[in-house]
Amino acid sequence: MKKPAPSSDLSRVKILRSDPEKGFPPFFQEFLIPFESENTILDSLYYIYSHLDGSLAFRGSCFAGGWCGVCTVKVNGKVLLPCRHFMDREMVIEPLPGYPVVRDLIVDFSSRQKSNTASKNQLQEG
Amino acid sequence: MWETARFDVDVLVIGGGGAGAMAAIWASKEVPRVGLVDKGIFGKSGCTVMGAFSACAAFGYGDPADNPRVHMEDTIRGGQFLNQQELVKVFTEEAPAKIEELISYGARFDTENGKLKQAMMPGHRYSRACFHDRRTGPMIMGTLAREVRKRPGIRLFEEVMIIDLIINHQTPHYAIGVRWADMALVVFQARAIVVTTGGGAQVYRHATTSLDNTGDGLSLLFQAGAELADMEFVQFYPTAVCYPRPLGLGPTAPAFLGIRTGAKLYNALGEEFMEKKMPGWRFKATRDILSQAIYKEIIEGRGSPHGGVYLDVSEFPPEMIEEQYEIGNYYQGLLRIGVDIRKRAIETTVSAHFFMGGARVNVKGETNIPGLYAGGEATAGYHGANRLGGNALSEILVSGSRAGQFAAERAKAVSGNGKDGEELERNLSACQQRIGGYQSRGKGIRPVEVKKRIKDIMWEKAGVVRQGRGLEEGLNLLEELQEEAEKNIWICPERRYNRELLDAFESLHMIRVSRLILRAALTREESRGAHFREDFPFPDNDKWLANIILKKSGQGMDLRTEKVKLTEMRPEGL
Repeated sequence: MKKPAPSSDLSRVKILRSDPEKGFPPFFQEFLIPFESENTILDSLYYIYSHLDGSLAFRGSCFAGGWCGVCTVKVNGKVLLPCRHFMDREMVIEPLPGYPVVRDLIVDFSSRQKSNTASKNQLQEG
Repeated sequence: MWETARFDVDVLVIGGGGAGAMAAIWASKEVPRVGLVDKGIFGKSGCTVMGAFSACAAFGYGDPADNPRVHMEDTIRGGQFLNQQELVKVFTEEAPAKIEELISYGARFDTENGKLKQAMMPGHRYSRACFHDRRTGPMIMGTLAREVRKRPGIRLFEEVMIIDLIINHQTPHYAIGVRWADMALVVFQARAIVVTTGGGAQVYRHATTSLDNTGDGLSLLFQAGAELADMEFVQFYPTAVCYPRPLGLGPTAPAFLGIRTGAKLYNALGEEFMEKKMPGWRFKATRDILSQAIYKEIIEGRGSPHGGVYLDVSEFPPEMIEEQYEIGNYYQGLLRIGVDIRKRAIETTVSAHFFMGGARVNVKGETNIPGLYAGGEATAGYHGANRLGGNALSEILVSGSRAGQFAAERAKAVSGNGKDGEELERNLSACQQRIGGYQSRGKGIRPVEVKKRIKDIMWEKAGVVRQGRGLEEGLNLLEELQEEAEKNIWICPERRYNRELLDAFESLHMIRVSRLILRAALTREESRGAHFREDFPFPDNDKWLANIILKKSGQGMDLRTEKVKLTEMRPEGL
């Protein structure tokens, strides 16, 4: 499929995808989506999931700006809650570092109980 | 191909919000094996964490004249006399003890002179709202999550969604769940089951709730033969976030610009429409009245550019705004995204917020099915036709604890194994076939598309303002959608963390719940509380001081009405 040329109305989103179970090396997949200044980074993930690729794995519950804290990922090198930041025209999204990746942006939080403080800081940004 | 895990518990709690946590804690005081199933991550998913403000309990610190009896009267008036009064009585009597119980688990409510601070909420006669800044819900849920994790008798099952209940009489029930992580089926044998999955406001296009609030438990209860009541009563939040979105402040944040402190509400023509409709509205208009008025402005074309109405405090002196609206960092929070409320208005809109309807339960949280209990927003009767602000966070504590405690008592009286093992195996393989079918189709309708259609239908046909013809159309549209979805839902073939799998099950739950709302709303030919019928715009106490009760019957539903028992108080003039 021919990709539309990037313009001021589009956002280029690169997502680190992986499935350790299937054994292929992690790769960045690029999506072009409409840029809406009132949409959050989490909205962008949901847009990609619902319009472009239903297999994208990510977490999100409250979708309301940092109440539940389950959506934490790394965006453009910074660990943040994607529901608490508006989308950008260029975004590189990777899973939360420091945890085993299960698939795409989903990490295994179950090690969290053992190191409660570290994960708490990461999950309660701001 | 399918991994199946099996667990045997005394009490199974389905839903890990505030009500579920309390149910698990209280059940664990009585029985050694309690399972707590959460569709998401426990302590974080659900709606309790989103409660910004308050939990009402009549301690009397705000005003010595306050007591549980007055709280009960306010709640029943707010519910326009459709509440089950015996439920309201236990809720208001036990609410203060529940707040103290939370404090004993480490909860930190704001205090003043060594006593809990109590704030005023609309519809309550006295100041009785306990709070922790504007993050009361997260504080409560954090406290409860820590308490649950401390108790060895409670085993957590996170990211597991229950998709089927099998009811056995006299012997343990079964619940079948699917684990999001790897699509394994999980079977629970439980001597009693408590459903605390909340409401389902996500069936509407605009909702203030978390995305997982899709009515799963209501749909499971209905399928299991439990009676549901008051499903026509969905509370809409009149001043929810529209534009701009102050991230981090929550969907109900514009309410911080207190209408009672003088914030102006006007439409695109600059008219203060509430002044016309209801003189003195600032102190009289409850959530239902405001929602109807705002919804009318929007659908009749007098809305703001982003589909809301304007909320404005810019006439006040800047110093007053800086001080008064800094609650929960609202003023600064908006300023950070370039919105200066000293100079301009914001847009707010109407959003689905809370289900007053749900499982018909008694004071023990028991449904009509032995061994099946419900607590929290998944129940009906506590809030009647409309819920007062601040009553949800305290009600879920009371109703959740009770359901857990009495479920445990029942569990002690049941022994042996589930009667119909054959039915279990049949249903298990049916679940496997369903999932396999969704994944192998290769074409059809995606679950997000089904959800979108449900939300559009419900918003347009069963929204804030309803009428008979629209409700009938809604029913027909949903019946068609249900047929199409059940036949053609198609999901991607991933095994691990397949979001479409959850969306598929959620969308089917949402259709069932929506049909119940439409059916009840069509039946109630009057307007009361959150249910407003344009074709029957007035309350009818002669005919409709009654609850509508729905129950599964074959492939359809039975509907009956039951007069409200006015055991504690009667409407004025009756």
